[in-house]
Amino acid sequence: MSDNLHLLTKHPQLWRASYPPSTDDVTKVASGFALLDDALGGGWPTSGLVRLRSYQGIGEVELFLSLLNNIRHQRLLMFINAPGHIQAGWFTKHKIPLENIYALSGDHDDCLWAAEQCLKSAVCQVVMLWSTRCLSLTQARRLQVSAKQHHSTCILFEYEHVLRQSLPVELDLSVARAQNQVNLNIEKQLGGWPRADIPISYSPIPTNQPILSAFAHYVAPNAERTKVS
Amino acid sequence: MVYSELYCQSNFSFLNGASDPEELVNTAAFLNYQALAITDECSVAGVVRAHAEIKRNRLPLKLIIGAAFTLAENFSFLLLCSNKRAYSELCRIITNARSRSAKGEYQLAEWDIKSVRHCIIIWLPSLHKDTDHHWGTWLQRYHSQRCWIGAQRLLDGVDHQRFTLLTEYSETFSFSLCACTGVLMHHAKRLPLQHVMHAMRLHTTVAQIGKAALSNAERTLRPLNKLKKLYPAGWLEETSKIYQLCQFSLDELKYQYPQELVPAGYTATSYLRECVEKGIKKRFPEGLSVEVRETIEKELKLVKEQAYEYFFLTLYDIVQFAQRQGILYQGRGSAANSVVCYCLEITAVDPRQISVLFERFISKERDEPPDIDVDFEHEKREQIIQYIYQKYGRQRTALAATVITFRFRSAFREVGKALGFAESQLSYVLKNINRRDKALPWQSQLSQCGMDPSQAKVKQLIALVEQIVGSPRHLSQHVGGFVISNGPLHDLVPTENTAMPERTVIQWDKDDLESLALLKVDILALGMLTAIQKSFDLLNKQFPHSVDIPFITRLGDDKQVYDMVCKADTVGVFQIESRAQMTMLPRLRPRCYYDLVVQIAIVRPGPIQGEMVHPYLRRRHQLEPVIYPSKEVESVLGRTMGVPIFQEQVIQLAMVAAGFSGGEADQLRRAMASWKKNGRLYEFQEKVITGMTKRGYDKHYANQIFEQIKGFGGYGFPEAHSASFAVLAYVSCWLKYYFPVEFYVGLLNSWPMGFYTPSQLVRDAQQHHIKVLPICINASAIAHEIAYMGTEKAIRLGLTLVKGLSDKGKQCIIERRPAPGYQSLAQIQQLPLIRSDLEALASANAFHQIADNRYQSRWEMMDEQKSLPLFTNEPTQQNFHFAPTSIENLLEDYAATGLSVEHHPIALLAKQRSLDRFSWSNDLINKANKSFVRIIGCVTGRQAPGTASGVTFMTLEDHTGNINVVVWQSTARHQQQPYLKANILQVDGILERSPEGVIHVIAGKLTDRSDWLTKLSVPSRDFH
Amino acid sequence: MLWLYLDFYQLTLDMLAPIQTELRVQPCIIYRADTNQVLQCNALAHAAGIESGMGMAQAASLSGELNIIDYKEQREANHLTVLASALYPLIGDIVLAPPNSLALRLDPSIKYYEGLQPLWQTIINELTRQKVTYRFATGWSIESAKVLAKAKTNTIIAKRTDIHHALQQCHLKHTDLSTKQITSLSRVGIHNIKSLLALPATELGKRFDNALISYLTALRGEVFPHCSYFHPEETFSATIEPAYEISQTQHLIPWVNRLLNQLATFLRLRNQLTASLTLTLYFRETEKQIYQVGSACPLSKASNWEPLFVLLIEKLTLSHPVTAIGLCTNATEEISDQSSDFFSDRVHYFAKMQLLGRLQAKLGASNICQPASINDHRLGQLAHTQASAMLSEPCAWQPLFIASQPVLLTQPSHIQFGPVRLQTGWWDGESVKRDYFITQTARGEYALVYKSPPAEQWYIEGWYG
Repeated sequence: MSDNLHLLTKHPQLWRASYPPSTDDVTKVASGFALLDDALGGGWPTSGLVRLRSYQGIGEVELFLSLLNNIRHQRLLMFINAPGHIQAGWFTKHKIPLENIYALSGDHDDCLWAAEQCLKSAVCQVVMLWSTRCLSLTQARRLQVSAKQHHSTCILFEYEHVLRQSLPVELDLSVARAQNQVNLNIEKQLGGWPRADIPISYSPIPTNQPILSAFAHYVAPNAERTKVS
Repeated sequence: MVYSELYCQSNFSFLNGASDPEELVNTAAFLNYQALAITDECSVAGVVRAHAEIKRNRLPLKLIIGAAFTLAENFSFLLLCSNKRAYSELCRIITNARSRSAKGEYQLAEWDIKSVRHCIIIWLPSLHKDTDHHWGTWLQRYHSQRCWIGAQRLLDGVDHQRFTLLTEYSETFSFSLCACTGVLMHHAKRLPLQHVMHAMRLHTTVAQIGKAALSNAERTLRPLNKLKKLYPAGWLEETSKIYQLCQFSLDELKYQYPQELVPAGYTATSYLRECVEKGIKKRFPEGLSVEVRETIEKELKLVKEQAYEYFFLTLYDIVQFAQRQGILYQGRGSAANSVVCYCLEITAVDPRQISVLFERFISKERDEPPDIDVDFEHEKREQIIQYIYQKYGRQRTALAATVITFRFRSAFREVGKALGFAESQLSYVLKNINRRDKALPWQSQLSQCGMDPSQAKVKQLIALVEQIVGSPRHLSQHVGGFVISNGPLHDLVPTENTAMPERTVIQWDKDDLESLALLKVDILALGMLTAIQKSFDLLNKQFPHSVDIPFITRLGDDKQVYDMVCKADTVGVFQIESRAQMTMLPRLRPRCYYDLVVQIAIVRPGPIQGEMVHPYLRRRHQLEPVIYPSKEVESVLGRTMGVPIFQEQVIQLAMVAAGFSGGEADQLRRAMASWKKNGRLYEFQEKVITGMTKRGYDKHYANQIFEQIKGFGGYGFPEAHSASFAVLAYVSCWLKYYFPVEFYVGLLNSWPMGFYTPSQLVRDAQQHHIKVLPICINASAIAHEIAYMGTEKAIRLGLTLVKGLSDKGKQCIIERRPAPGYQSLAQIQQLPLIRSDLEALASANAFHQIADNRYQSRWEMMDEQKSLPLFTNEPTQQNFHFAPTSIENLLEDYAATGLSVEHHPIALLAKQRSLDRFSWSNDLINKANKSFVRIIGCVTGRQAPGTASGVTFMTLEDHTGNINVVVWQSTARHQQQPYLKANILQVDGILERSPEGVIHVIAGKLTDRSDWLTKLSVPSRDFH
Repeated sequence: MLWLYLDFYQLTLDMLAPIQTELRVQPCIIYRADTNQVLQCNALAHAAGIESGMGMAQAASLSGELNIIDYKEQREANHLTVLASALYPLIGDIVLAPPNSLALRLDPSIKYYEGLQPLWQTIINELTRQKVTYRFATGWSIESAKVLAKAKTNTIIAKRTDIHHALQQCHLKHTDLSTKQITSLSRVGIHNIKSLLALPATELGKRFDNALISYLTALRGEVFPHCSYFHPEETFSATIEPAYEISQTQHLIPWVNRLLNQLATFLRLRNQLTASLTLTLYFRETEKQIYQVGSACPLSKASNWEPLFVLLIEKLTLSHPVTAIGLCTNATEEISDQSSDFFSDRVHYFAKMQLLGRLQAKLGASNICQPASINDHRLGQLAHTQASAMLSEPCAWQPLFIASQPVLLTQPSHIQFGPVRLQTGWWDGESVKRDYFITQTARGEYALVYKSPPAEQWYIEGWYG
């Protein structure tokens, strides 16, 4: 085992099945959920194409919150073909500066062209793309390569009604939510094993709980306060 | 389920609350709340109205007195009054907070709240965790025993954070939680008005407030079943526990008069009796008749029963001070007609003259303090006010407040701006709406001014303006109403600063004071008193025996004076000098003092609208028999021939004919005063009609009486006030008849006052063959004076008349005037006078003794070098050769002094052009009635009294006198340009002479002759 | 020296008349709000007795249906420059006297027109073509001509003595003296120029400031104060006639490049940049077509403009062969330091601008926007009210996505949060009264739904991404 072979094994592109994924890898951003982080080998990949399949409105974008908070100075965050008008209130709630966020819309091919332009321009760090039709292999390939080359992340959201097809992506996920508990399956990941049913608990909405508990707790007026000096 | 709303703001939280206190308490009672707390922003201005409304409608609702405060950023809370001491504490805190900042704002200090011992505190956390924890611990350290947390449920998407945080605070600081809403309106339909007020407060439009505005109408009084669904049961019941602790009611406020008025060793009654005895010696030197002594005893007994001794002693003290300072004063009001007041020298009305019964002034059933106003000379009133402040101290006396409400014009403009209308469009519409047009209300006049009423925005504008008119805008100071108390005033009611420096005002207005039976003393200013006093000073210099009002009234009714009045020669006289009075005097022909009392009260919108003038006229000249439907009516209307003219008469009629109780009669009086605003008068219509028909009066008569009551509205003039004014009117007529020169000089020196300009007063003096000498640098003093031409007295105009002459300049001219007077212009230029003073004097032709050409003298005065010592001996080159013609002289006179003594513009015109076919004012008398006349004159007055149907009255003045011109609406509309723009107007019309000899010219053709005398500016009193 | 002074006393009215027809059928005034003065009034307003200088109240009371237009000085000045540039080819020496007057120096051009009258006639023709009403007069200096014009002499006088005689009669109010000076003079009996000029200058010097003295000397024509002449604005505009008609779009590109190069040289000479260009394609029969091409930041080099034009042309379809191509700049601006610094994020900024420019060209400007932060409680409200800088507290229940059209709720779902009651918007016709809830379907989808009473139907307004 000459030393250059040793050197070879250190090369990040090369992966040996028995090696545990290194956690201090600089190309990963911790997602904030412990179980998910060690399954992903440190967190979300900072470059490449990530696909997420889920139902609409289960907090799918909030899942990548740590990625959105990690955008470098002046780099752009793109929403392409989002299911509705994105609201500034949501970003200020999560303390994400507004001036570098843009939303694009158009037909399917235009959106793909735009996504590729954004990734290639080295100006956007995260591009979120919604697609109602499944991408062809070449399209996915082009996105993956341009994202890799320019150190930017492209997240492709495919809602359940879109016919599933395996694509050459950096990370392939599918998510389902029951109440405020989310189960995440890693279908495929570059440099790591697929994992199923990783439990994550977070909720993108406020609830009536405090009001209901107040009704239960304060049935009678406060007994001991009767006299005032 | 029982619930009390603890956090509710009325529209006395200016531009924030959208409902009146009355609306709030009525709605709260309707929703059967147990109690309602009125907590306006650092103010208790609205609580008395709520209290009075509950009493009036006997509502099953308790009122909690409180106020809302914000101490620091994110720290707000309520203070509720549990007992009397808590109330005094609240008033003290509000007074301190208000006194630290300018009018309308307040500044709390931490100490104010730290020192709270009795009030209940409802903390309203701001949901900012850090500041809430800071103030939570602060409250726990100082007020753990008396602090609650007020929890709101507003369905605005933040309720879940509120509930989490507030329950957390309740645990950490062990304050219990109670439900509250922060009510800003009594019903959800008031939301648009609240949004508009919010926009006005931020000086922006409703659309631009955006997220800061209320997102829904939850901050209103909500029904109990809805509250049950929104709040935990415990929090709702907690409110009634707090209510149990707040048992304070405004009725507990007892007012004590200032004690130091009664010297040691006396009781109030004994001291009052002594003062009255002293007064009797002075007022009745020839001794007292039995009958007068009897009335005095009766009056004193009544005063003793009602414990009003201090009221009279306070006034007696103020009046004594005025006498010591030689300030002329005149008491008026219901108590003014008592012999006791005459003895205490509060009033000058000798009761024997008008034999007015005394009990009407303190009627036991009505049980409200006597209301006396005292008028002082308007230039010396300030001395009286300072005396009061200095004697009782700023802590114990303050002015009553008046609530300035939204008037139509300001409401229309501000609501329009808030709805996003363009400013120029709003001002254009406002200029074109004729508020006097009775036929067409302003709403339907909008379409003529380019605002299409079918548009949604315009409908909203109309609805919101109607809602906002009449609601309070800010607090201002009453013109003269003083509140004086024994202890510090802020135990009774909070005070706050006014716009004027070191003047404080209480937060309640005169109606509030009346409903709580607190005493108010009115110190008012009257220009005529100054004029009369100045005339007296001039007379006392000439005659040994001093002339004063009692001296004149003791002389009784003087026939010659009344002849002058009946000839309507009353220019400059008090109250009966206006054009309307002058046309009425020859018809009514007052012959005695009481006729004057009626004359003053009858020419007012109230009696005119109530159609009482003509019946009275016909009955006075025996053209109509005087019939009284019953004995009681005769006792009330006897002295005015069966026609109700005075406000008191209407109220007595209600009591006597319709069986009203004393209290109900007082409610009627209050409703009459404010019926324009909220139409409460109609509630009494049915009561009056049934009351009278039950007592046998026919329905028609009852309706007529109610119409007369409605006609009176706010204008009914009380007989007591009219009686006092009649004294002054008679004194001024007497002076005008016997000592005209002193009369005119007194009037001119107290101007601005009254109805006429100095130019018209001088004209009137000249028509009475009094010589008026022009302003002269050597002869004039600063004020106008009497000058003697041989034995004959003349008026010498003073330097005050010169427009643009500074006070320092006048002083300097008089002090440095050499004995023989100024001989040359250069000598005057040496005086340390500024250039504009010299120019003003030149143009007023004050140098006419030295240099006759005023252009030349003004040109000299403009030369700066001349006033430098070096150039005095420089000969004046004669290269200036402009001289004014007679017309230019006249124009300069008017421009420099506002009047011309030598000649009248029309006289000049007559010299210049042949005006033979014109007739002058003094030869109109011998023109036949209904004959065609052509007249010309300067327009000195335009009046469109609301009562006449679109008729306008114009006064034209020519060199022989005044002419009254009547212009019908159609003539005015067709000849709008001359009617509106003319300075000198020629009128061709028909002469009309009434049977009593009053002359009017009905205008036919109007021609604008202003171009005959270019650039003449005659001051005209238009549309007052 | 012979100066012609043209006083366009109702320039705004003349300018608006052809556009707004009601000006001819209704009395109309130009009103200045801050001085509460009527400045200009049309014939019908004059008939009703309204004169310039009157207050609004008097004017309104004299005529019922008065049409009021706010006076804008800038609008009048712009039209003045239009008039000046129309006259410029006729006579070179023009001095602008904003807001509504021009002074033309006639004597140098008289010899080109062989005499004063022909010159004056050509000027009259041009003015009538511009449809403007004016008062005019001539004098030996701008000041004297101005006084005569204000005094409405309206005659062309060449001889010095006649000018002197006419000047004597004018009243002081036509001069440039301040109102204070005029009143103090009238109070000593001096009303017209004759009596003013009769006074020796030394006496006047003692009583008035020297600004008045210098004005009087100018009036007498003894001295000529300096004045700056007018030169029209230059903007780049060029058209090219290709050798043969072009029917395929890609053949347009070389011609467009030539125009871009011309543009680049024009801008470089003046050291300027431009951010928006207008491309005009002329056709033989049909109407010409105009395209606006804008760039996010001002550019000058042809190479920068070229890709944008290529993208535009690709999208074009030519219905008819193109006979000529025109290009002109709308607004040019100086190269400021901001656009020429060379720090690193300068490059990044440039790349960002380029990316956005390219996306806008492809997708169209309407499909690119930033997240909507609307200062209004109503969520569905589009961003037509301007986003206010003040960002209020974001409410916790706000979803990430708002549907452009509310969607019918079909899935059975369970309420998680609410109600949040909304009752507002009464002022602009889109009033809203509804209760919002957050619901979750069996499949875990969160949605913001509302039920607008009285209808019992639920709608989805947004999703929680």
